[in-house]
Amino acid sequence: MLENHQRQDLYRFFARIFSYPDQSLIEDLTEEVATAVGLLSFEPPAAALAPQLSDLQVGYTALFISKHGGVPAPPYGSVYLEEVGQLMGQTSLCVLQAYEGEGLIHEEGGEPPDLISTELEFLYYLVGKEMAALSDDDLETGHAYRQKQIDFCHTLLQPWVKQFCQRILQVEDANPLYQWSAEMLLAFCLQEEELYGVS
Amino acid sequence: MAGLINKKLSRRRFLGTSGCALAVATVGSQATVLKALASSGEVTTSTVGKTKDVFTACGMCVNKCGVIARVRDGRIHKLDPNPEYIKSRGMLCARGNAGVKVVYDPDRLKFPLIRAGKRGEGKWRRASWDEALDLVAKNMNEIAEKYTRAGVMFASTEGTFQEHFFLQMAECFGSPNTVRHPTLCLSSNIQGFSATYGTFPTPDVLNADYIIMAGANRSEALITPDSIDQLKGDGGRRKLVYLDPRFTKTAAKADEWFPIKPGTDMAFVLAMINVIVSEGRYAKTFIEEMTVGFEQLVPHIKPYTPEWAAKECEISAQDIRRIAREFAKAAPKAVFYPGRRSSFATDDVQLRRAMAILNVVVGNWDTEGGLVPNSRIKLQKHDYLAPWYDDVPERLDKGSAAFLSEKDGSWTALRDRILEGKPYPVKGMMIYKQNVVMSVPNRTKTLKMMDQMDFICTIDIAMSDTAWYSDVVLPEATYLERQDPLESIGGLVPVVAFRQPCISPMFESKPNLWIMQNLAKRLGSEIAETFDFTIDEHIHHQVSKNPKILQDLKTKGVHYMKVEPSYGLTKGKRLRTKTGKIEIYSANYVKKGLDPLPVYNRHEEVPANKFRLLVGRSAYFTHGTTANNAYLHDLMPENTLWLNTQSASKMGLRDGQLVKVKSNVGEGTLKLEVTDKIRPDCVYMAHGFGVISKGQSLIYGRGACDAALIEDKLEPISGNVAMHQTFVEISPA
Repeated sequence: MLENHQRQDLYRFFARIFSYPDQSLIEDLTEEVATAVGLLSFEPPAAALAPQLSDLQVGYTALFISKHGGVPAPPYGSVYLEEVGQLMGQTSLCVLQAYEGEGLIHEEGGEPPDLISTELEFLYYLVGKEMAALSDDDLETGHAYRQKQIDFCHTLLQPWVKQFCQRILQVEDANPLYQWSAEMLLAFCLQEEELYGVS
Repeated sequence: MAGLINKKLSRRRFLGTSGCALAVATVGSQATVLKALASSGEVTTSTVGKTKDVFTACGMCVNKCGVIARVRDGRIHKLDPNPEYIKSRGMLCARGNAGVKVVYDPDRLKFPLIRAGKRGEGKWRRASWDEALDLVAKNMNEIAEKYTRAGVMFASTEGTFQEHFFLQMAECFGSPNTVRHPTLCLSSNIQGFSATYGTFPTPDVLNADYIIMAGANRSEALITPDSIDQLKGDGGRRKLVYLDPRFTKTAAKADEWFPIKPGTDMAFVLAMINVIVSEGRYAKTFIEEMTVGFEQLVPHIKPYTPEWAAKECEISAQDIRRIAREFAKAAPKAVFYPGRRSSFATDDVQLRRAMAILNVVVGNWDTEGGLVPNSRIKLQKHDYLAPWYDDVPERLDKGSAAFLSEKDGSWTALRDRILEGKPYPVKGMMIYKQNVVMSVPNRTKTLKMMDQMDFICTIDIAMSDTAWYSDVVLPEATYLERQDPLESIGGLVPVVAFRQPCISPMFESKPNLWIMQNLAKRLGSEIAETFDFTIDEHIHHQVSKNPKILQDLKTKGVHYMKVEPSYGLTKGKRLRTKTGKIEIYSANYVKKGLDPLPVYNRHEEVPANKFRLLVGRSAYFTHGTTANNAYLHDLMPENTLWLNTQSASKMGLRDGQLVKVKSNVGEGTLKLEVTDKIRPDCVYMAHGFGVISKGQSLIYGRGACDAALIEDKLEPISGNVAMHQTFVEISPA
């Protein structure tokens, strides 16, 4: 079972991996991956990961922004959670409400709030709040933040993240980093489900 | 402002930084990597529960109907028609209703993209606006330097209310090579009617008692208010006669439908004139006072008897004679409908001239139920002083048609000369909204033309086939996310429309004006100065002489000055023809070596074992731009090839089977639809399918593309294409 600070760091890791790549990610990638692999006891990527930034950007664009056959894995929850499969559905608003309920502002104005990396970032925040409360021996607040994680995951993240990852895995020519990350995110979600089951 | 800045600075960001491992990010540390969320310090509900209704104008097709966007919780919940919007009679069609899907389509363009693989390979990377615009400016300047400024062409189409900014860019950059949609649409129609009347008039459909439509499928090729008005008649007196090789939905609504032989409409029209003139049923006083050339028409029309025409168009002489008499009797509240898209055949201008003359002889000009000159509400123009360049040649397609529009050009003529590289090379394409690859006949040639370009930039909202073949793709904000300038829409009851943003632009999409302004800054101060205004300043300038326009737009979504047409405003005044009168006989055409009166020439017959390919519209789709819309896609997921039941039976083909269609210039594969709704010598497929771009996930791999099959034949007077003169073979796929 992962400790809270490990969970928090994994949420941060996945949020970063599923954001549009930049040079700093390339610089940190080896260390980031090694840490995440260690935390999850997951198989490291088959090939050594030393992608060029341009390859990673092309790979990200092809999976999540624009690609052969349409966007294979739109990284937005409402596309999966709602029948019409569109952006900014009712569930996108629920996600925004969850952020705002915590006094958070969604600052990526043009991007829907249910972008995978933003949802993961939100969980990073909630875990951090739980940790802070527990370190102050405020068990009630700590449990409340755990419950918020459970509620958010059960209703707004877990129901689509598996399908999202599976779509990535189905793309034969997807960039290997994203395929590996999708597999690992699936494994992490399974662990989180188990954790929430006993919470 | 200071308060806002302080507030922003005081927000706590959570996800810090590059650092890996277990460190919890701290405030204000290194450069942030993840930054979507920040603390406001208070619980907010920015959007939930908030509602607003926004007046705007539809952008799904050419009609610009009035819309009220119902915005709920920060999302566009629904689009409703604006009951005040008289042009669309307070209605909104299927496409208009589906507009929400344009905004929230996961396939929409989101960020600037720069090609990372070979052209057309589909490898892209996301770029910042700065990087993308720097690259566009660099390429434009390099092409101008290496060739001339005319070496960059600008292709665009109407409907966005911001096209004029794009055309301003073309002019200020210094290229004469703008090319617009009319030569794929109605340029021959405009030319034929304007040569006769000095203007392109509007039929008063609502008040006409007798309407003849030839190939103008108003129940599916929607034009407001005509599509709505054609279905009403004052006291049931209205009669609609419809000529079309297909049994369209307009045919279903018509009183009489004739499956006319394609290419023979002029025979029908000339025979009608023959009957009306020879039987003395024409408007004698009107012709005497308002027209020139009737005396030349009388002998000219003599050979074109109904009996002669019946053999050509396969409509009986008895019917032609009867319809001509009924038409003359109903006049002046009788109109032979000009239509809109007129890219039928290589003699289309003369067909439209014949239609115009038929209207003339019954004297329906500028009168209730007839053909009425448009009125328009004046808006102040944005003036600018375009930089002057000494070394810029004339339009590349100059001289390719007898009457070529300076701004519109001729698409296929321009393309041919680009491919020849003569008289000078064009090596850059700037494209705004127009889906060139899907729209210009003979797709193979279009792709060849694009292959020889050094640089292609497309501004659009979706990954069209044209965007797919570009080097840089710039995402425009959709029509529901933009503040657009006011647009004066002419007609019998003219209106002014505008668009307001219903929501903020999603992702990093930007309005065209912003894109042009920021490109202009990179192209030099002289160009940038012409764009030195805000959209609000632009709008206030437009209404500077009549502020009420803007007040009306804000309070009811539309401005108009009258609700009924005005008739007879041209009576006693000079028309904008050379003689100042309606020109039945065109001396202007004689000067250009053209027939001054329409002469019928028989078109090439359909060869044995082949079929004529017909082009037409579906009410669900706008050209090649909406087939990937999920709501509309549900209504029609792919196109089929219509083939007459008898023809299919002879060939042993069955309904639903895949067939290959082949013309002289291309081929496609699609499902067969065996039907009685088409003549045995014709086939038809809806436009907008068979796309190349795999960026259109719903329709990629579905149906066939008519632009791949249609040969690029040119109408030589207007430069329009001729889309109904392609013959195809069909075989099982």
